[in-house]
Parts: sequence; C-alpha cells; structure tokens
Amino acid sequence: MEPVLNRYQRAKIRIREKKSQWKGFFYNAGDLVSFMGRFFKEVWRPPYEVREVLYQCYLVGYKSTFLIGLTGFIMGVVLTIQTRPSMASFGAISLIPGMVSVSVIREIGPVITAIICAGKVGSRMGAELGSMRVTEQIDAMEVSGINPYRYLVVTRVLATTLMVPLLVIFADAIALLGGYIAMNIHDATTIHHFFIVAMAHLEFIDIFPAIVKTFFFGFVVGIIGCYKGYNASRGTESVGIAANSAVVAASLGVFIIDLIAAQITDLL
Amino acid sequence: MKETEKYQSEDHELPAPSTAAEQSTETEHPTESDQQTTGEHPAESADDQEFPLDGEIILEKSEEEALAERMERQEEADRQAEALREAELEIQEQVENSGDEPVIVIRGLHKSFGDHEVLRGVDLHVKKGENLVILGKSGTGKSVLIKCLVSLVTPDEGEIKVFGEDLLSLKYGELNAVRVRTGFLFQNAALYDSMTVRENLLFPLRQHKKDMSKEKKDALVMEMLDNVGLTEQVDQMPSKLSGGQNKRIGLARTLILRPELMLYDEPTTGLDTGTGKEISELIIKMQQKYNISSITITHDMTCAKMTASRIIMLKEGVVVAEGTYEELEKSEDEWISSFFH
Repeated sequence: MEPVLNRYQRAKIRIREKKSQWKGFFYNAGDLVSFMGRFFKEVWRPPYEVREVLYQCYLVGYKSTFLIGLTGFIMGVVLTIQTRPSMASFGAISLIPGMVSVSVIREIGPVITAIICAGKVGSRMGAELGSMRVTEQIDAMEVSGINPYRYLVVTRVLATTLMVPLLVIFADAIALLGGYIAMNIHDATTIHHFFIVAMAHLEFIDIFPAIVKTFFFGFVVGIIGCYKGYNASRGTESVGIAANSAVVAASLGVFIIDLIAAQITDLL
Repeated sequence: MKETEKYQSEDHELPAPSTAAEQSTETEHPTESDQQTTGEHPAESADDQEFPLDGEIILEKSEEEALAERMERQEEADRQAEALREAELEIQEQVENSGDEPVIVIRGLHKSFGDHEVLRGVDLHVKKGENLVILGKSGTGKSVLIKCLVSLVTPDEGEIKVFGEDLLSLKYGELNAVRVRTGFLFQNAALYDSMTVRENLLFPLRQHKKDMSKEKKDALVMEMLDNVGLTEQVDQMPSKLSGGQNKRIGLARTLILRPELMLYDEPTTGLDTGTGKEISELIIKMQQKYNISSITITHDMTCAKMTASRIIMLKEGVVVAEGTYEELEKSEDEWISSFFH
C-alpha cells in the first residue's frame, strides 16, 4: 500500500495544480475585462480608422453572406420539416409559419449566426493577430508610433459589432424563405400568405430584444477573437491555440449572453 | 583602446560574475587548471574515490583551491564591472558637459524575466552620428536592451534617455513622438504580410503625414525603394520576396519617416555573406545620407567591422568591454578574441 505521506504529497500537488488553474482562469478573465475596457477608451479617440473599419466590415459581412445564407436556408427548411408532423397531429399546420418565424427570429437565427461568425470570423481574427504578434508585425507598428490596438482591435471589433446584426437579419429572412419552400413540399401556400401569417405572430418583444442581443454577440465574437490573437505568446503553436481558443471562448460567450438576454426578456 | 577595455584586457578574466549554477557545475567538473594542480587525470581522480586515504586529501585540496580561485575571480569580476560602470558614467558626464547632447544615455539598466536576470546594470551612451555595435553571445540581453529603447520592454530599474527625454516617465502620446524619431529594423524585417510593398511603405506615412499629398507620398515611396534598389518590387507581396529583399524593404519602411536614430536587430542574420555585406553597405549609405545615429546588434563580424564607430561587448547582462573594432581585435582576452578570430 502506498505510504500515507506519498498520498498526502500527491494530493497537495493536485490541489496546487487546481489552484493555479483557477488562478489562471481569473487572471485571464481580468485581463479580458481590461482589454474590453481599453476598447471603450480607444474607440472615441481620433484618428478614426474609417477605411480599415469599412474593409473589416467587408470581410466580416460581405464575405460571410453565402455561408450565413446557406445556413439560414437549411435552418428554415429543417425546422419546418421537423415540426410539421407534430403540428399536423394537433391540426395546427396553419401555425407553422408563425412557429418558424418566432423560433427563428427570437432564438435560432441570432444564435446560429453568431456561432457561425465565432467559427469563421473569430478564428480568422485570432489567427491573423496571433500571426502578426509572432512575426513581430504588431511590435513593428508599436515602434513606428502607431497604436496597434486602435488600428487592429478597435476596427475589427466595430466591424463585427455592426455586421453580425445585419447578418442575423439576412439569415432570418433566408430561413423564413427556406421555411416557405419546405412547407410547400406537403402543403401548397403562396409566399405572400406564408409571410403574412409569419409576421402576424411576431410582436415587438420578439424582434427588439433579438436584434439588441446580436450587437452584443458581434461585440463578443470580435473582442474575444482579437484578445486571443493580440495576446498570443511567441511561437507558431500559439497561433493555432489562439484561433482555436477564440472559437471556443467566443461560442461560450455567445451562449452566456443569450442566457442573460433570455432572462432580461422574460422580465419585460 | 579606451580605459574600460584596457582595464579589461589587463587581466584575462571577465568581469561578469559567475552564477551559483556555474559554481556548482565547476565543482562537479574540475577545470583544466584544477587537474594540473592535482596532477591527475579525471578518470584517476574517480578511481581515487575508491581509496579514501589519498583520494580524499587530493580532492578536498583541489576543491578548496577551486573555491578560493572562483571567489577571487568573482571579486575581480565585480571590481572590473564596477570600474567599467564608473568609466562609462564619467564619459557620459564629459559628453553632457561638452554641450553635445547624446542621443541615447542609459544608466544602471536592470531587467529580469522571472528569476532570470537578463540585464544587470547596463550603462551606455550614443553620440550623434555614431554607430554603436553591441556584440555578445545569444541570450546575453542584447535584444532586450534595444527593445527597452523603444519601450517594447519595460526595464525594472535604471534610466533611459532618448533625445534627452526620460523614456520611462513619458505618456503614451509623448512616447510615440519619440518612437517616430526612432527607427527599428527587426530581425525578420516584420513586414505587414497582408499589404504590398507599396502599402507597407505608405502605411507609416498615412498614419503620421496626413497633410502630405498622395503624389508626394508616392514619390517618397519610390525614392526609398530606389535607395534600397527595389523599385521593381513595389507591387509585390512580402511573401514573394527573398530574405535579403525583405530586409531592404524593412529598412526602406523604417527610413521613410526619416528617423534620427536607428536600431538594427541582427540586420544580417539568416542572409548569405554577399547579401549580408550589401545590407551592411546599405546601413552605412543610409547613415551617411541621412546623418543617423544607430545601434546595431549583430553576431556578424563583417557587419560589425563595416558599420561600427564603437563596439561594446555584453556578457551575462553587463558591459564587459568597449572600444573600436581594431582595439578589441587586439585584445588578449580569450572571450573577446573568440569573437574576432
């Protein structure tokens, strides 16, 4: 049998490791908050990098439209096909457009779009800034008297904050179109009638909080992607780690914000 | 040869104090002189341990001697480092009194990363128009030292004055104003790989010369590329260029803001001899053309010989020798001469 002292020593080491993991977690959380704080400080200060913001909007928004559109379409089709049997058993097929619109606009559209953006945009930002850090490009900006945070981080975070809501609206529209097409497989209906019924079920409380939370989704995707890349440690491995952890952390961030938004909406 | 280097070469020991780790290593592995003292081969010493009577006496004696020798060496090294420091401070005072403001003055610079002390009290100065070359083996704190000069690394202790401004007390905006007057050529050139060569050169101009017309900016870009002989590559991406071409573009990008001070971090590393020589020639050409003061970190002795007005040698975070190339080349010190021969 293992001596008690050895077991005690091993337990002590395990506790120490756990402690340092928690310490690391809180350190990173604090660092991220400070990184966010710097964003709100820098965003108001001139010079405004309008050109770079527009370029990032193009990369985040325009370059993601096909992927987001396709996902939205599949989302609408699948939702309609999956719910139809249940609705049919209650004789409530006429409610399908309303059910699809409320589910897509309130929840599925914003969350799925934000998760796609976390994967596509967040990872790109993490890898891009991580690579710039590793190859000393960020240092090169710093030493030439250019504020790299303002040029690289502020522009990217603004772009995601502005573009993700637009992408969500686009995804919602395409999802409703997908829903209409899926409904026509079994039940003949016109697009006009489908959209009239879909919109009739929507209220202000369904649309407004859903749109507001997408700004937060965009912000969290951008800030976490940039934070992971900007703080990548030296070495090529860290670029991969930055990209990977940006996706994981941003996705988690999206779900946490969604949870908070759901609670706040419930109170309204 | 300056007083500091003379002092250094009088004794063949180096002033850098040996660390505790070194001491313990030396204890375990007796030096050649230790072996001569005992008059035995290491294998014989090991055999002696099986015969405690002779072996113990000989081993204990040699350990004691080695310890005493090391302590003596340590004291001597400390004395020499202190003498070098005093000499440097005296020179700095003389330069300041002469009314000729030095471009850089560093006093008592310390920097540690965790337990590892990288810089242990560095003092140096750079006069206007001078090119100071810093020599030293890898990991002696050369890059950390020049990164302190642009505040990429914040020192733990000491004073850094660049253009008479105390770098450590400046606000971010003021620091950036100093940085604009200082150019930094990174070891791998650090070109922005998402931009073409033209955009790389235009980028600092867009940021700092907002009033300059587009035509003038373009003309300046072409002038700088002409200086480095790469006008044809203006619309290429950095990934399409060779290492030497990247360095040249990096130099052109740094010089486009007409800095008064240049910091070169191993400008010829990773290049073949011919290209390395071309870069060194380019450094001299630019220095003469724009009257730039500079600090160059290098392992390349050809580059050091071509570009140096003065050389300082860094060992374990302290300046151990100073002089011109010719002076240091004649040094009888084993460590110093290992760089030159």
